[in-house]
Amino acid sequence: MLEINAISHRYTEEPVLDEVSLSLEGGRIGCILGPSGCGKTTLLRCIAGFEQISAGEIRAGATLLSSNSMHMSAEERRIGMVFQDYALLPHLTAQQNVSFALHRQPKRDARLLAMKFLKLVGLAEFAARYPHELSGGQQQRVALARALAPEPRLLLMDEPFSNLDASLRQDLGQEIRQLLTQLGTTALVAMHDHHDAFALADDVGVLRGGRMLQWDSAYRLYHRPADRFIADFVGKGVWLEGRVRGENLVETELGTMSGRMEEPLTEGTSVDVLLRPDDVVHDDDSLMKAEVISKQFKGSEFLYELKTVSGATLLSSVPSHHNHPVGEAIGIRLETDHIVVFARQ
Amino acid sequence: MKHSGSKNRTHVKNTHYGWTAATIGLLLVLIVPVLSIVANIWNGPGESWDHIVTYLLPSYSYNTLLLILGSGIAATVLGVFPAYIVSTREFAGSKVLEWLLVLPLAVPNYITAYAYAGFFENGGSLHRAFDIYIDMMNTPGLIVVLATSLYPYVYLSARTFFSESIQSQLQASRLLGYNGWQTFRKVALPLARPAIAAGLLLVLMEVVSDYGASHYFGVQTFSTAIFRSWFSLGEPQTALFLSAILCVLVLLLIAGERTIRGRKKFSFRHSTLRTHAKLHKGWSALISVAVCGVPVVAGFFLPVGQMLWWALTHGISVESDLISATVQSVLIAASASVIAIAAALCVVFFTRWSANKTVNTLSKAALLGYSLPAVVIAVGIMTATIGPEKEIVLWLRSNGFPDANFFINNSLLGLLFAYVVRFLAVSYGPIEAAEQRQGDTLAKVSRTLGYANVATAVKVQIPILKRSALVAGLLVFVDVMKELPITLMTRPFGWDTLAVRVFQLTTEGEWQRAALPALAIVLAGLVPVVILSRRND
Repeated sequence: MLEINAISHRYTEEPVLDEVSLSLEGGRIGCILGPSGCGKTTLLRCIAGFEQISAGEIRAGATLLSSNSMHMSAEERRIGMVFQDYALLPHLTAQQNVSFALHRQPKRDARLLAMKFLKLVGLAEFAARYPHELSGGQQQRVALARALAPEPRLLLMDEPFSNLDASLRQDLGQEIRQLLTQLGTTALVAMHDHHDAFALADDVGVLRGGRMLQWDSAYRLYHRPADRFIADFVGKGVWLEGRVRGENLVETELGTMSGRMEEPLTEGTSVDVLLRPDDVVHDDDSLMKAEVISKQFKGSEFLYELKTVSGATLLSSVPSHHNHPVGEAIGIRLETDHIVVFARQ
Repeated sequence: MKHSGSKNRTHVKNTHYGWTAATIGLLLVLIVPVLSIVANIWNGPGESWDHIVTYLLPSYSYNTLLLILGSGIAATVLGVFPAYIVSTREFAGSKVLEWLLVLPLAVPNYITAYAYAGFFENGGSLHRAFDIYIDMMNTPGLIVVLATSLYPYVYLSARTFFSESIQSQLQASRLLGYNGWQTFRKVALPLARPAIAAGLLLVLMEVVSDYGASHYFGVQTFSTAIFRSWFSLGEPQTALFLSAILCVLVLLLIAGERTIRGRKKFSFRHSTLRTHAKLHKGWSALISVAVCGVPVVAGFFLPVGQMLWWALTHGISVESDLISATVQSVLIAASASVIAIAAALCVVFFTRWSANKTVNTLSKAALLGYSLPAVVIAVGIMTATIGPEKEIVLWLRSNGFPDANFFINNSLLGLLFAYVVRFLAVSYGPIEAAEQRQGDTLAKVSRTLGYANVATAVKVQIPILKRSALVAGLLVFVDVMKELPITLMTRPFGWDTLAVRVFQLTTEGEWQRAALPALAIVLAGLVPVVILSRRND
């Protein structure tokens, strides 16, 4: 549906986007993940038509939206956008805000359609309220309803959760996902938190310094990150020194690990191995022990920071009924099915 | 502007009576003109009052209202459209036009008026070049002059709003399929009404306050009438009555702006990401350039060009009276700036130290002078001081000081006092904002280290405020350089500022000789325009 082909964008000399590519199939939800200032917002604005690109192409299906010589104006693109600050019109009610998007319909139809979309986002009874009479989450939904009402070919959302508190994010993330799937809407979302991204998106890309480091399914991005930055950015973990000992085998100080490796490396190569907290399992019967250095209570689980006999640091998430004091040595076991390794430089 | 400092400000419970008294004392001095008008109005009007009410008041009112209505509408049109265009479109020259549009603020009304007369009138430049002339020296002509020189107030307020407050609303509207003109009508205009009203209020206060341009064009307004009653008729009480009416008119204008603003109290998140999508070319760019270019040419390049022409054809000869006028202008403006900074610092800190909410609210009365028409301030100060001052002088003369003379009225002291009352708001604004930004953490630290209020202010707070205070002083300096009506009414005999020289030369028809001092004033006026536009970047 959305095809972005090596686009670049620059305000001055320094490129803000540098040959960024991605492709999103119809009906899927994509997410651009990256630290602030990485170019996420600029990428969305290029797709929306607020910025002109200096190289590459942006296509929606068969339609060319932008190239270095062509620029379809924002109002012709039929792309919906939920702005970070929602951009609701403060002088219009929730319903009027949604109707505002339906100006090509007769007034009566517009009103009915607006109500339909407000109902979809669960705000039917707030239709007559003004934006300032709604909570942040409700304003967000009105903005979503307004963007969806004209049935855009693509929906863009810029940091949809940045102004909401944590408890609200999870519910809203689920709701938005359901709604978009139900309507079959293709959406691209910019975010900085990988938890939010994994909860919402089918495909995720990591953008850094204007370059797309990897564009992949959420699962593959987490388990097969293309480089260390991505590996660190999309989740917690520690790096352990190791040596390749044959196909899908890596020897470390904690023993030999087995699991699928993305790229076969020749035997004997020195590597860094990524151990996620869920790769290190607590097992009282294990002979391998590690000392608890610190722990974080996360409700259903503890995140233990452990120190092995050889001095390596590990992270382990353990169900929270296993409560061990700091200083105690606990049994651990490695449980890996994928091994993320990068050859040591 | 965000006042983050005020959030974590502690409110001390016990009131400090000394500082409260000092604040109130200072405020009383600053609102002397208003108090004096309110107090003296009960003494009845002067002899000519009945004559004025019957024969002249209707035309004063009619002209003043016509000016308010005409220049209000014209300034809005000249300000709002360019503001929208430069905030939403890119075309060749859009960046330059964006700040050129502010330049007319550097040209005082009375200078624009005389340059227009010299350009359009019979025997003017247009007449000589193309053998056509337009009669400018009437009410419609004055409306054109006032609108072209004052529209930047509307422009600035609307542009800030369009480009900083509602960028994302404007962009959302475009994404939903509205074109530029539809977005202007349906989104920009309804949301910007309060911002436009705020700018318009400044325009109208200047219109009501104008003396120089109205006098020069021979249009009788309240301001010219007050001036005439004081000097030509010699009836202070009549001037006072007219001033009171004018004050009521200003109050109505302020109330009008408040109602427009109050009903629609929206708050916007700051969003400044503009579109860089399309470089407009061809017809669309041409229209944009025309809409933004006309006000700039009319408000700045035409009057300044005309004066440059005069200055060059007349030959740049600096006359001795011009040098003395420059020196006197600079001296008085510098003194007024220093006093205005000091007064603003006192109001800000005394209020803070008194730690009293009522005093805090009352302290805004110090800014009253800026909304009062200039002639009203002059009349207020003179009526308040002349009685007691006469007593004192007479007493001194009969008690061993035969040479004792007036020291407030028709002296530099009175002139400075009037300037400070008029322009305190100009210096107070930047200083108060900087103090708010500073917050009170540093002051608290200093207090815990054993410094008292005053020592903390002198050693810690004021040094940090220095830059803002300098900017504040500069703004006052330039305003005083441009000031005409107060100077004309309260200056000591023989004390001619540049503005006064320009006014005298133009009323005598010495257009060419007036060009050089007028250009000097415009040049000084450009300084704050440059500073302010830099600040926006």
